[in-house]
Amino acid sequence: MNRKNICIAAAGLMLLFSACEKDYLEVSPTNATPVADVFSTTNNAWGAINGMHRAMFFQWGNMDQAGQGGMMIHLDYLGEDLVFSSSSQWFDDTYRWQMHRNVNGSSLEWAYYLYYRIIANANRIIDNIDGTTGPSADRNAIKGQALAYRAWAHHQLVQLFGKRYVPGADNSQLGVPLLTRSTTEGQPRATVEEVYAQVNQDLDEAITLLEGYNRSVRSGSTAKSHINANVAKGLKARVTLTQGRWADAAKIAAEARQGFSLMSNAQYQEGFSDVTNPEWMWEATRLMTSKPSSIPSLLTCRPISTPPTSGQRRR
Amino acid sequence: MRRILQLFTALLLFCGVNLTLKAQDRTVTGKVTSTDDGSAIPGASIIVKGTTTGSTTGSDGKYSISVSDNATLVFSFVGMVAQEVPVGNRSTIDVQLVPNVQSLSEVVVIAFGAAQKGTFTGSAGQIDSKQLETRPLTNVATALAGTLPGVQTNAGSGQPGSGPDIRIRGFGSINASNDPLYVVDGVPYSGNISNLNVDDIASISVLKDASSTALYGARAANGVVMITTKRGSKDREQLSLKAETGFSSRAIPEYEVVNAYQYYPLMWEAYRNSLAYARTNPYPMEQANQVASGLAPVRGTTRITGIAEQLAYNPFNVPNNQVVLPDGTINPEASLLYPGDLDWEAPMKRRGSRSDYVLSYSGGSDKTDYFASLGYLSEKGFFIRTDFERISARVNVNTQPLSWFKTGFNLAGNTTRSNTASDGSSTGFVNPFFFTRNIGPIYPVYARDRATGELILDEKGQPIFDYGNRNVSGLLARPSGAFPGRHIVAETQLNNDELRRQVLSARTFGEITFLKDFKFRTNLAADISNFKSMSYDNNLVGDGAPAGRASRTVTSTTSYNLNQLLTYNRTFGRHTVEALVGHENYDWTYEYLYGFRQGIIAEGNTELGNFTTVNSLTSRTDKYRTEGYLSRLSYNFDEKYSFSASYRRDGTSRFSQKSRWGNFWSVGAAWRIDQEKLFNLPQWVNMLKLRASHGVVGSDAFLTTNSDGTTDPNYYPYQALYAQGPGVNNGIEPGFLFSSLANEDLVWESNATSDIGLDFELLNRRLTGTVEFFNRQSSNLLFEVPLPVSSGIPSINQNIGAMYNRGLELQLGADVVRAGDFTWNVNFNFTSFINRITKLPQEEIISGTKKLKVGQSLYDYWLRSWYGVDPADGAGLYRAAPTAGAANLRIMENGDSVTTVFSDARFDYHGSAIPDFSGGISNTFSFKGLTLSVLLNYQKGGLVYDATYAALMGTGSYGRALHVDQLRRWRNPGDVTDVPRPDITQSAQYNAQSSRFLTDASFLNIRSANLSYNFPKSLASKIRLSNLRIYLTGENLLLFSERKGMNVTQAFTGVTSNRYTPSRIITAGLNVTL
Repeated sequence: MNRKNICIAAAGLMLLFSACEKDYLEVSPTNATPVADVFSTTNNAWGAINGMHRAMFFQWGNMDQAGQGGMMIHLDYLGEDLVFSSSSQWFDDTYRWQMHRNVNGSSLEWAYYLYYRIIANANRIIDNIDGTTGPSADRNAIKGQALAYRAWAHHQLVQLFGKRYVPGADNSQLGVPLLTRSTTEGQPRATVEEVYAQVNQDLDEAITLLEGYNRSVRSGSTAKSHINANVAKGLKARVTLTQGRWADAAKIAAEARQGFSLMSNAQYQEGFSDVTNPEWMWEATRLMTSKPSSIPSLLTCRPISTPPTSGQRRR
Repeated sequence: MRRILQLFTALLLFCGVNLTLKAQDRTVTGKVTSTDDGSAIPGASIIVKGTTTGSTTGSDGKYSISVSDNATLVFSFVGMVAQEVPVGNRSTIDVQLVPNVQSLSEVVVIAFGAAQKGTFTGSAGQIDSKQLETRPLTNVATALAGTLPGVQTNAGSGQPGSGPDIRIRGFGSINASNDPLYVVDGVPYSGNISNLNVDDIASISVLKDASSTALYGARAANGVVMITTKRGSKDREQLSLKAETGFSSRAIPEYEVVNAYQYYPLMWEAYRNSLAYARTNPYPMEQANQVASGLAPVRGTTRITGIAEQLAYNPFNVPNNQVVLPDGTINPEASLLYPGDLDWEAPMKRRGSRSDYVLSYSGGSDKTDYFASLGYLSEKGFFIRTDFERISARVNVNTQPLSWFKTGFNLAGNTTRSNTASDGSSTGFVNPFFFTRNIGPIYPVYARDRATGELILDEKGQPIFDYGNRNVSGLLARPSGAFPGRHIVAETQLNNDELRRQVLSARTFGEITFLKDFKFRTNLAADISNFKSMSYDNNLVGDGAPAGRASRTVTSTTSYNLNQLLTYNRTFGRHTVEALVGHENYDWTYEYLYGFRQGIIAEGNTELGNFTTVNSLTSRTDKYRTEGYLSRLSYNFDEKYSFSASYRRDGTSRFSQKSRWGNFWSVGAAWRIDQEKLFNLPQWVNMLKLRASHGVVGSDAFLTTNSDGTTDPNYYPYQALYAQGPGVNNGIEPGFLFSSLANEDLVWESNATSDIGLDFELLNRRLTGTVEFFNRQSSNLLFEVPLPVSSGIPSINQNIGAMYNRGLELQLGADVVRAGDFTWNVNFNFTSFINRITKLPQEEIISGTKKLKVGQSLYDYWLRSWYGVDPADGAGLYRAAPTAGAANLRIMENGDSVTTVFSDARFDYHGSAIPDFSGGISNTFSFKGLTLSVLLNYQKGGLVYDATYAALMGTGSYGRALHVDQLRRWRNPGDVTDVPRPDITQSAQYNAQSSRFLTDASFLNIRSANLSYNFPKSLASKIRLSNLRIYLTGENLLLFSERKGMNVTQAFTGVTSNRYTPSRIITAGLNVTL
């Protein structure tokens, strides 16, 4: 009896104090990926770039907030060359200039968030890409795209939230905070001059890194969503245009359009909604599975049959 | 039960107890019987007070004892209230003993064990099966409403199978879950609580303070609801059958809305006023009257647009321009063409039903006990296509095959299917409560000929639904307020919203007794629940039209719990020591699969394969694990002083390696004052116990708020993550997007709870009760702290807030009348608490109708300050904010600055949704076998923001229903009223969300009443039954509140919404025990 009791007690105590494996309490989600895994290989890091491409055209919040496409519509509504006589619900306040002049206007915060979120994603790639394993050509292509995005987003922001760049002036007026590293601390506004200097620097580095990157090798039908050297040069051409550097702009724009032909007369009548259009340099393609059950449409709540596209057209 | 006790005592007395019978002066004889059924009590003890002299009753309940003069006899028996009787000069004394219900339940189920009520240092309330057996409860949570102090419940939904939410001792968290932990048979339960068959439940114990919950450590902050299922009793084989059936209907009537004859003139007035009071170029009143009646064209046109054109449908027998006369009254000649077809609730409503059948058998021998049950429940809601059907089974077997080894197995399974109303979104067009409540009273359900009002029939001669979008030629479209293109009756019939659940729940244990005082027990539990929800939106009308679409959600939740407990229990003289150490693992896995396709191929088949296009297809797996080491030490001296201390160290997968382990503890003490010789308390004090406890428990049940305001558990709040899934893929290329920041320092929300209570039993236990105070300090509250927008991520999870709940709880039970066969028992409970925020990450956080701020409660209303109606023009007035534009500012006679524009209104705090006090009262009357018991719930104070009423007070939308309060609207200059001018254009300004729609939340609810009759044992035994009972019972019988239709306790936030109205259930039942 005694021995039995001792055995039982010993077995019990062993069970009692046998803790679980050390990693028992380590769990990870399956619908999200820890940062370390995203930047383990270049293959995964490509995903971080592709997520940014997608962020250019998914619905961020309200129906008018369909990424850069939605932002372009807002900006068009603010223009003098657009007449719209019926109610469009989501864009009315913008059209009537009641949105961007109201400090609480929802689109103001959204514009800020849209571009800074792009920047935050780009910064995380730039911070972490060097630690990934994989071909260095891929690392360059990923980092180059991230730099181009960072430059492009800062350029958009400084045009929306800073006084315009005046060629030849000192441009010390306040622009927007420059976020060139991952941080959650608020940053002071940089001058417009500083913002443009950083934008140019990022684009130059991007163009160098993207030299030799052929986007259709890795990406098939979505190749045009990626930023290659041509697109980066196209972005740079726009920056130089806003800076009033006309000669630079003409030169870089000419370099940017190398390899792209103009549309034929027939293609002009195809509705500008086909990714294969030869004039389109940078564009998004959507799949049916990535479509919400009702597409946030451009003007009303009604679903439309053609998906909105975002991107820039070469002029 | 009593029979066993009787036998047991008789045996004990017979075998062991040596009674010394001293020679006494004379002999007293008599009989001891029970008030319960008048039967004799064998084995009752009779002692001469102050001596050791005693006797016991024989099998016939008779006794005889020798006494001296002036002696007092004490009659006692296990489970009965002891009685003292002075002998005087009597020689025959018959005594009736009253069963002591309290003492039968003297054991309280607590964490990892049970405690003696007399020495328990914590705070817990218990409901036993007796209080449940005659109530038609589908969801066990319903049983907690109003029955225990410190427990708040909301009204819950009337959707069959659903139950209320439970809050124990206030609201301890802002952004994490406030739900208590449910523990079923000793193991945290991962399934839906509606899986449990209420008839299988032996007791529900609600643990409220740290002393009773600390052993659940990181999950105990919101209290613990311990549910224990039934088991068999030794030597009592029985077979029971319960059958009950009845009806269900609306418990709360619909809001009072105007009828068609009232509606037309009211909307005429809203239209007319929008013309006559237009801000620019108002119409002269006379012209506005003519235009609104359709007698004059709209200015500058030749078009006639009268009220009938605005409302589109004219259900009267007079032409459009003769419905409302230019003086604003309805044409006396007008009568409805199809008065029976204007009520949209009628075709949605039906007489609901509820049937519940349970067969169970139980029993046991010295070494083994068993309980088995099989139940079938079918509930049909009072709205069409809402029901709940559950088949449940349970087997609970415990055995002791060896003197030192015990084991047992408790296995339960059930399958549920249910059709549900689409009431998830308060203003969804498929929400039947929203639609039927808000559609104007002039629109027919079926297509009607516009001239004659006759039904338009299809080729088969059947009536056709009028979708309000010209789906039948010759019809008009309903205006925007009356849901054009939508049809709740058709959509409800054609759509499908169905869920199914299969659940398996298993518990087993092994227990070894060794070295006399030690026990080692290991418990293993598995809960598996498979859930499937099937939804189909039809292709004819509504969200799914014209393609048709269907979705399937399949989830599987599996949880395992393993614990090892070592206990030591020993009594040395007057000292009793109990020690417990243990280890516990919990492993929870949730697998989710969702598919959504559209484009139906063959009508009638709603499986996903029958649709052309994939809209969404996704799956994920979530995991949550905890591990804990636990210990408890209890010490009791002479049943007089008790101390207890517990400690648990818990680790959770929800926090980083660095900060995932936390310590939780409690200490408690109790003092039985009545046992104290020093005080020599008067006779009528049967029990008096003072107790106090303090401890710290935690919560890791963090939530994330979705864009639509719903919340989901967050299992990975500390991790830096990239979102993935179809939403972030770039076409065919996979994508990630940065979604959350790391916070390795994130820890539990912690609750430090102090409790002081006084338990008493007085006057032969006729009056029992508890008074207690609690102070629950929550700290480290989780917030999604906003970050600068330029950081590119909206927020980071941080532990930053603090809040307290302090309150008073009172419970009183009294046997008001104990007169032979008749007893009247009253049970009263009362809870009052205050909730205050003491720390926030920001100065203030405005969320919906509330603003969080230090010094305010979680549910304090922050609303525009309503001022009233300007008698001059009927404008709705708000107190003006300092920044209000001068254009709309009005200075009243008394100097108050007011505005007619809601955006210029001043916001203020306007009271709280938390009531001053609340509770329940139950009255039980018994006469012989007849028992009537009535449970009332009450609440005093607190405010409801009646948003559903507010919607019915808006006059800005043609076709939308109106509340009858609109009849006392402002009409003419000089009118003094509280309802502003109806005005299509200005309604949004005048009827905006404001303090105007706050309503007193006091209520009295007849929550449950039941009348049961227990056939006398003698009669029952003649038909070979040991027990036979019939009963009639009702739930949610009557609600008295400030406004008809208002669901006062719908939400803890106090804001009403269009949800399934609670149901009233009336059933008749039969209980047979063999």
